[in-house]
Order: sequence, then C-alpha cells, then structure tokens
Amino acid sequence: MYFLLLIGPPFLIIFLLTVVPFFYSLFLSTWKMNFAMPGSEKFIGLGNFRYMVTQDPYFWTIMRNTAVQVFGTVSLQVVIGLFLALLFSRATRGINIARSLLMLPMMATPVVIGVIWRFMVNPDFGIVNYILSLLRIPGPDWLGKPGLAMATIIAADVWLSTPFVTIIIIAGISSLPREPFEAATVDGASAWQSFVYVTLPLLSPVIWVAVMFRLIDAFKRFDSIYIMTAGGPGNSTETLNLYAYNNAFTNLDTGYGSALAMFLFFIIAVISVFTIHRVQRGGDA
Amino acid sequence: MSEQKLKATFINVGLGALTVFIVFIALAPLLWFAPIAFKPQVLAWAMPPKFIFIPTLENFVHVFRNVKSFGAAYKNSVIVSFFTTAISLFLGTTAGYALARSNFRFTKYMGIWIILTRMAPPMIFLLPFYIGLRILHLSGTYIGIIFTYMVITLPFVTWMMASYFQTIPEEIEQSAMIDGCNRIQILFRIAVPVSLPAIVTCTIFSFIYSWNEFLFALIVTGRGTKTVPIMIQGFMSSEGIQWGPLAATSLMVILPVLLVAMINQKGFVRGLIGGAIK
Repeated sequence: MYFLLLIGPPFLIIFLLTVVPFFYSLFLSTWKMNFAMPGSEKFIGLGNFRYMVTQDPYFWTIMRNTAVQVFGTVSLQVVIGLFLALLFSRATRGINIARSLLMLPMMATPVVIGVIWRFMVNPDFGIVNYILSLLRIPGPDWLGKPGLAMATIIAADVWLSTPFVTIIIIAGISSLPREPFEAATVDGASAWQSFVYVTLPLLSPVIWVAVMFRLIDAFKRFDSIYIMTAGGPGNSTETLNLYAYNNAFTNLDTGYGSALAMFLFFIIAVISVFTIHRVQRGGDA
Repeated sequence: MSEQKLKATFINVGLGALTVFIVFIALAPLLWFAPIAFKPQVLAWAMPPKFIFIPTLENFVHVFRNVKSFGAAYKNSVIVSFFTTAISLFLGTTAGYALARSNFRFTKYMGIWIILTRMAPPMIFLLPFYIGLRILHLSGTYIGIIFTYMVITLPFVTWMMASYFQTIPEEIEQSAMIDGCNRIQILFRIAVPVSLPAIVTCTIFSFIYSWNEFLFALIVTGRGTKTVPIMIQGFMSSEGIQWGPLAATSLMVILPVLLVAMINQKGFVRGLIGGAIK
C-alpha cells in the first residue's frame, strides 16, 4: 500500500515526462505539418525520412559537418584524455587539487564557455591572435571562415570535455589489478611494452565507456556551437542537432524537425549499442 | 645520490612541471577572461593587452543600472534551479526508496531507462513540451520550465537514490518497524539521514544542470521567466556587443556553479555518466 503511494506519483510524472513525449515526437515525425500553415497537416508515413535522404539539399552537408564535429572532437579527446589520465593518476602531492582544477571548466555554464571562446578568438582583441602576433604570425578570423570555424568549434570542446575522459580513465586506472604488471616486469617487459600489452587492454572497457558518453554528448552538443557560430558561416558548422532545431523552431516545420530529431536519436542509439557491446566484450576479455 | 636515483628525481620534477602546465592550460581561458570584467572600459581592448591595471567595478555597475533583465533573469534562475532540485529530490527519493525496497527487479530496468533518456537528444522532448505546455496554458511559466527540467533530473535522482538505498541493510528498518514506525516514517527518519552522500550528489547535479540549461530554456521560458543563459544569449545577439558588461555578467553567472562544483565535484561527474561507474 505504501509502495503504491510512494511509487505512484513519481513514476506517473516520469512516464508523462519521458515516454509520452517520445511517442508524440515519433507521431509528429510521420506528418507533414507546419506551425506557420495551420490546417495543412497531412499524414505522410515515412515521407519526411524519404525527403531527408533523397531530396533535402542541405542534409548531406549537415551530416558531413556532424561527422567531422563528432569524430574530430571525440578522437582528440580520447588520445589526449588517455595521456592526461596517465599523468594525473601519479600518486604525488597535490594531485587531488590538480584533478579538481582540471575539471573545473566542465561545470561552467556552456553558454558562458561559448562567450569566452568568442572573446578569445576575436580578431580585434582576442588573446589567441595576440599570441600569434608575438610570434609574427598574422592571426585569421577564426569564426569567419568555414574550415577554421569548424576547427575552432572542435578545439573549444576538446579543451572543455577532455578532462571528462581523463577522470573516467583515472577511475579505471585506480582499480587495475597489480599482478599482470608484476608478471610483465618479471618477464622483462619495457615500460612501453607493458603499457601497450597490459595497461591498454585492461583499460579498454573503461575507455569505451568514456567514448560512449563523449559520442552521445558530442552528437547532442548545442549550446556552445549556437553561441559561437550559430551554424555559420553559411552552414559550415551546422550539425544535425542545430539543423533539427532550426527546422522546428525557425522554419516552424514541426513534422520535418521531429523527423530530424528522431533520426539523430536513431544514430545515437545505434552508436551507443555498438560501444556498449565493446564495453562488455572488453570486460570479458 | 646514485645516478639512477638522480634520473628518477629528474623525471618526477619534469612530470610535476608538466602537470602544473596542463592545469594552467585548462584554466587559462577562465584566468584570462575573469579580469576583463574588472578592466576599465578605456583599457578593455588595448592592443597589446594590458595585464596590469587598476581594477574597477564600472562594468558591474553598468549591468546593475542599465541591464534591467539581469536582476530578473538571476532571480528566475535561482527560482527554477531551487524548485527543480527540491521537487526532483523529494519525488526521486520516495520513488527510489520504494524501488529499492520492492521485490521486483525494477531498478535494473530503471538503469536502462536512465541511459535512454541520457541518449535522447533534447530535441525529441522539446516539440512535445512546447505543444503540451501551450495546451495546458503553462508555456513561459516557472511550473512549465521546472517540469521540463525534470525530464533529466527526476529519472537520475530516482535511480541514484534507489541504488544507494539498496546498500543500506534492511535489519535497521525492521527493528524500527517493530517499534511501530510505518514505511514513510522509516524513509524520512532512518533511510534519508544515512543517505546524505547520495542526496548531496543529486542536489549538486540537479542544481548545476538547471542553472546551466540552455536549449530547453530557449523554447519554454517566456518574457518574464528568462533564465541567465538566455539573457547572455540576448546580449550576444543584440547589435554592438558591449564586451565589458558581457564579461561581468558572464562571471556572475558561472560563479555560483563553480562554487558549488568546488564543494563536491564528484556529484556532477557522476551525474554526467549516469552512475555508470561508481
């Protein structure tokens, strides 16, 4: 009896908040409907998805941007994050303070992070071009040129979220068993060999956990891109998430916006299932 | 000192210096940015930049005097963060307790549910919420915003609390039950007081999440309920950005989260990974 009283209301709310909107979104994605044109709603089944891959003139550009943004950030973060984890897992004085400070920017409001980066790369007064000018390199307009803007977008998140990868891998390092390393040393393995053949395989489940969360968040990334470039110049930094938002709330194309959001969820789900599989396989090995 | 020992010391010092350098790089943007808020307007964009100057509060004064939306947005953010956190904690704790003490293995499925909500792009929820809140005449109200944020915070708190309650031995509760306490009394007098670490984690995660949230806020906040991230975005899109006051505002916005984060960072990180690693 008490259980029902305790469980009932919260679960009703969670259900209303998560399951209902999901199916409503799924429903919306099968309709051709636009808020700007009420009365023109029409059920088109998978029509939105067909339009997406066959006719939408921007879709494949958006997909390429998304792929570059996601895989660019995550691959750099894993490599740098692993390196930092090795460095920050050393048992030395003050290492806990160093770890806390390393993670601090991650907590900051993403919108403010976007603002800070716009300050830093501003061609007139930004610190980045000032440092370049000291080296006698003419600084470019970072957010004004397509390729550079994407590189800056990627750099901002590499700076911000690499510590997240680091902290997960540190947790993994601290729970590593000792015996394999002792055995490797007895067998005469060099530091590099024991890193490649002992540490990395043992850490691989943890690394895949970090990769999964980073991939999910990189696909979902919105705030700092919106503040830094809003998808520009042109649509060179517009990712799937921003594109779905723009379709739904700028063009008021409810049906197509929902379809894009669903498609994004589908991609994230597929990639997550793949990485979860890797986590489990690594755990068994 | 032997040669080998000397070499080891040398490597240690080198790695220590590298650690300090990396921490510096991680903090450099914040360290460069924060002083801009205190720079006098005339020096703000001097090239080469002036690293030494007499600090002034003129940017802050400007924000308080001329930016009417600032006080309102700050108040809105405090209200929304406070109530999102409080309601999620209350509902999540009760539901989590019931989950932990019930026989069915629902907690395991709850974990999958959490991961799914974690994977879902906010865009999936955004349109249904926008439409739903309009139908209920709740768009632009605090209640609407708080409910929206609970999409993320409530499942998380429920699951986090459930996994924590499961580690508390049931014997303590059974003896209280013999003394005549009912389940609800046991929850609030026995289970909650010993679960303080989990409650702190949930509080910090919910607070930081609702303070920082931007994408939902873009759509579900109204003219009178704009939160701080939306106010800053308004600053950016207005013609002729006033960088000095913008820096001052930004600093005041990130200060509360950084302070909270200093108190207990683990809580936030655990929130980000949805408790995948304990």
